[in-house]
Amino acid sequence: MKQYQLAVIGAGPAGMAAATEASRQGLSVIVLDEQAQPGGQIYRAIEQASPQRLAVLGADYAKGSALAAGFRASGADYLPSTLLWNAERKDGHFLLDLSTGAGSRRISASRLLVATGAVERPVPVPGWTLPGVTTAGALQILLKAHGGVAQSAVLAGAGPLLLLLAQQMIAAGVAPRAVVEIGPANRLRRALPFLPRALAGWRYLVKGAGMLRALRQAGVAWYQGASGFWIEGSGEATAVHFEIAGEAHRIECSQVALHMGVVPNPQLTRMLRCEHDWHPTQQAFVPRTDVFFETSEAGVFVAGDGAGIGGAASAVLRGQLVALRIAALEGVRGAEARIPAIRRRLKRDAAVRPFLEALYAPAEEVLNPTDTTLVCRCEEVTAGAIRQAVAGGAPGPNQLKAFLRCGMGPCQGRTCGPAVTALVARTRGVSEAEAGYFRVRPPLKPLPLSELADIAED
Amino acid sequence: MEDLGTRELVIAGGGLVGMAVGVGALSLGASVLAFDAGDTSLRASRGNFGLIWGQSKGARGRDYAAWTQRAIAAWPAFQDEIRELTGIDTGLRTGAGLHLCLSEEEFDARSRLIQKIAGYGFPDNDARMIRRDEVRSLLPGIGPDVVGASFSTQDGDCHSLALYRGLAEAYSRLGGALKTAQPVLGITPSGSGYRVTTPEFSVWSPRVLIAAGLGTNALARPFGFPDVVIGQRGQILVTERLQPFLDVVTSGLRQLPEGTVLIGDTKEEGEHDRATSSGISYLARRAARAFPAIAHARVVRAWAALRVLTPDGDPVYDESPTHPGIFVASTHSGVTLASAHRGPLAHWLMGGQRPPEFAAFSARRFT
Repeated sequence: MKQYQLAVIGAGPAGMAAATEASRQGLSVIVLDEQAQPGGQIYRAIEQASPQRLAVLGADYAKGSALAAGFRASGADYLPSTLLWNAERKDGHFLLDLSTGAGSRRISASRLLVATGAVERPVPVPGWTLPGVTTAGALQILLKAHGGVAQSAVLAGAGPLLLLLAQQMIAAGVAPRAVVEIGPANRLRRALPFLPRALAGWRYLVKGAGMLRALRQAGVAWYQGASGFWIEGSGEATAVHFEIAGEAHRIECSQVALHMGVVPNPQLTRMLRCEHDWHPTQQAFVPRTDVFFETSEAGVFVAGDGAGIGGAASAVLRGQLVALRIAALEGVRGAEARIPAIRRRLKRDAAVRPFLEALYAPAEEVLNPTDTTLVCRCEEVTAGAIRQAVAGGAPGPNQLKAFLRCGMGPCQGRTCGPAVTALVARTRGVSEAEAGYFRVRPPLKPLPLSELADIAED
Repeated sequence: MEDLGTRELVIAGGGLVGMAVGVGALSLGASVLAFDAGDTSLRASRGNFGLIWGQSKGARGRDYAAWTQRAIAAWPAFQDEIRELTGIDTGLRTGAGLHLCLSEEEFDARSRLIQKIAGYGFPDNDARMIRRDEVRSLLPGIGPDVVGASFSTQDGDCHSLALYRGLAEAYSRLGGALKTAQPVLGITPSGSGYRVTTPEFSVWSPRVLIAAGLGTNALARPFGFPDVVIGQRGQILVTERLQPFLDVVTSGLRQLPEGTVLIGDTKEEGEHDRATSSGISYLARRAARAFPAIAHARVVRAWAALRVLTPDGDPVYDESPTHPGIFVASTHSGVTLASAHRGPLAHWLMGGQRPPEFAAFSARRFT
């Protein structure tokens, strides 16, 4: 079994930067990633992007090219199309079980870096399970990987990705039908107190203004302060409905992309039983770490959006910081000298975050859906059933699983987890921290039984 | 801290045992309050494989076999009661329960166990060993490694999560109070009874049942009980939903009505309840040997829980030798025995006759 000093899970900006830096420091490094090419979600398919597609997707996307090239040249071992399905401690090391598409294999590493990024928050609105409804992220993947663009789409929810996607669709020549911001009408006013501090991150604000300008110039209808949002359709989505200031709206469409921000991908850190804290302004659980991004589980580090949403630039910096820290722990002299400078840049890059978090706080109606709205799609469990089970004595998501099979289907709660926590907290009248989160068990994703039978017995 | 007044029975533990006893006590007219711990506490009730199983119970002595026989006989009426109270179907399915043997050694060992239990002479226990050909007539899909099985028409399974939920709901329909996320912190003598305290509540009762699974030892120790439970890790694999292919129940693999297949279970030293790669792989290999076609099914999760096992595997139902009114109930067979917990156990706790088998289930055997 091959032994490494560092195993990096995820080849997005944090993972690529960490692997590149750690290799430069002389560590033996392996990177595991589910995708066929490096880039993660944000730089998905970056190595094949044509100049034309780079133009559509914008300058920030193009930044991934250099990162991927540096990673390719770093000398780190790299296993693409590989799923880490379990990780266990043994004799001071981590044993990692990998599914490579050609059976399972096992490697060992002294330290782990979880760089699995963010996932989109579920947006349980009536009709969200209809064909034709996707997440904004899924629509953007089409654009990045295939250049495909949805016709007659409504983008609904809140968050920078929603506007970025609209801008990219406009650049690709197929403007969305409308952008509908769900939530309070006074988002900007709520966020204004955080604006002065955000000015240190003025580049992000300029970028945001550019998105809005693109929307306006293309004549895309932009609705703000929508509530009571639902999707009409029998068989497939045909229209969206919502209200603004008491006035009912209906927009016909063939595609709906929902988005209500992103949260740290909890699967691996939860499976490793790292402690998590509730981040009230990000409205998400974040792994508890020290200043070097080491979690409560010694030897397990987390960087990138998985350590709290910070965006791609911060992800790179966090990845570098972790790599330098681990190099220092492995005895590389002077490795930590650059860390203070990285910290300063991280601080500057994060200046805009409180403003964005206030501006794009998730709408209460998706955190506390109506009784008939499905929350767990796999097992078809409604918000009403969850409320009833909580009232009947289920204190949290894990007891709900036992009582309702909620989160027990093929996705194992990957989709509904944040929604279930939010609903339990609101029903019980307790904090999300007290409501808790699903226990995550191996295998991290479904795998054929034959493959699990295949691993060597110790 | 809120004082909840007095109750005729207070139960520490809202799992399968506590809720079944609670339902029984409530139907005798008693006022009952149960405290249950938090969402991520070690809950054997969530990790149960869901068998209704008699053929292998009683290796140590006749009483466990007798108690199990009683429970299985009472199950259909118990299921009806839960359904009438809550509308929840616990899915009892008996008629063919098999334990597959994958080698001659396994077959011989199993054969000795089945013979010993058959020797007790319970009329409903028709367990016997059958050879490969007979197994295949019941289960056409078995693999070449299956040499035989033990077989009983008395055994089968139920929907154990529906049972758990059904009990909790029946308990509340009958007027039982359940306080969740309230682990019992202390039980202290007070007058002619006991005061039970949790982080937020306190209540007084002449009778306290400790049915707190792996939390039992700590709560029972002050009342003259030896340690009665040890954790034993059991792991289960769960597949995606498959077309129905298995209408009989085997002890290590069964298909639920919704189509998922449960594969179990390991017996490991239990210091934690995490699923392990070696446990997962062991189960996967055995399942693929028993039913080669299942090798292609996708496993959606592994599940690990700590069994609430007594040192000799038989249950403990006992009253404190020093403090009358403090009871302990502990068993790893909370599904099969649920009907007996609802019936004779609850009856005894509320002042009824002590079931004759209980002499053998005293905690004193571990002192």
